[in-house]
Amino acid sequence: MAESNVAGKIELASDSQQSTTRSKAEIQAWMITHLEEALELDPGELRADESFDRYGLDSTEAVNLMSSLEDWLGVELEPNLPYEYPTIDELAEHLAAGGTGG
Amino acid sequence: MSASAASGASAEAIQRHYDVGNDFYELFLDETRTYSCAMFDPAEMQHESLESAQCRKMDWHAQHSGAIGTARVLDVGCGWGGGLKRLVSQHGVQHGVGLTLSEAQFEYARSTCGPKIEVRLEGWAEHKPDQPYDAIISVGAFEHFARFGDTPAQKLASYRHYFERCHELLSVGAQMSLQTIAYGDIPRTRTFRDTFIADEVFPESDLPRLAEIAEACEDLFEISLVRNDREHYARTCRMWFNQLRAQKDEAIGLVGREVTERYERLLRTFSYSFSLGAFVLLRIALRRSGRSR
Ligand SMILES: C[S@@+](CC[C@H](N)C(=O)[O-])C[C@H]1O[C@@H](n2cnc3c(N)ncnc32)[C@H](O)[C@@H]1O
Repeated sequence: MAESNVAGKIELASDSQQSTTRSKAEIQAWMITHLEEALELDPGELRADESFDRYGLDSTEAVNLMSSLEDWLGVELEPNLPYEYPTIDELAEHLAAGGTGG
Repeated sequence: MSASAASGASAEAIQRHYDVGNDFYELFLDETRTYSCAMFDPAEMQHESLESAQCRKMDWHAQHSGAIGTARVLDVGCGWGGGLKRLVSQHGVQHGVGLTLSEAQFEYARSTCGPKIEVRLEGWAEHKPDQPYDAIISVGAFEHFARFGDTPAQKLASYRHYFERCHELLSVGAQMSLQTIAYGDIPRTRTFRDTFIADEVFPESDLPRLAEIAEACEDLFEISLVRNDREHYARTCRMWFNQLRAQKDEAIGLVGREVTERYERLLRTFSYSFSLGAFVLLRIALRRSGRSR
């Protein structure tokens, strides 16, 4: 695989996925599935315009969410994003527009 | 073992993490094989090489432990020996002694370190040299000096035990430096729902808090300087993660998918935790108290 020093490179050399552009709707759907599972919520319980706080998203789960999102999107993300964009709506919109940092 | 003689994680627990394979660590560590937070030039944070930042870190420790130009220096938790090599080659140290509990590190360091360095497969609690040291450096080992699940009193006793040993090992007026991860804005009362780190990555280990360190060394050491460089560890872990990701196939060939992915998860989670302030990275300069005890 890659032999060069990848330090500083933003795109992740994921084994499964190259960096892909996703629409806001796709990102929203992905986050809802991921969070309903992680937070053990019933399908349909999570609303895109309610804050993550309300669903008890703690820092460990925020970190797990961002790790999985990085791999799925194939880009490096800042872990403070769920705090800067505290709803699924806002975060998905930010990511769909190509934002990575908080 | 009595509570007052506790000294943290056992050799078996340490080996579970550090003995997965020298060639695996070589894939993602820099040339100096340093496995702890680097110190970047703040103006070059995103561009400086990891190796150059690791050397700057070691130079900081050489200076703040007062090791430069001395006869005998102890490195508690010496890893693969890169720090000791720099002390004897760049900082005029005549004799360096390194302690590690990892057999793989011990074998590697012993065969590469040269005649001025003595590497020992031994914990600090067991180390009984016949002469005192002029300086002690410990980088990235204090994280293993208390056990996950210890009560606050047990943790304090373990840390106190460490500082008492260091006080005995140092000559009068000597200095030492300590670098360790500590809990940041995680409340003390927090119970962990996700114990991935304690269960799978660093068994038998728990992190300190700055206040615990300060209390444990009271009247044994004077604290002359404390730095929190957590952004430097966020960057260091991210660079390790990127290196490992870029060589994932080789890594899987060496240690298998499960171990490789456990390290990926560890490195990325740590990078995030430092970015968010859940963990901090402390570099502390200490001076041995002269008061007779
Ligand atoms: C993260 S590594 C850091 C190595 C090195 N200082 C560096 O910066 O690359 C932690 C080291 O602490 C050592 N260690 C852990 N517990 C110890 C103990 N009780 N006594 C001596 N060394 C210990 C491990 O064997 C390992 O070498």
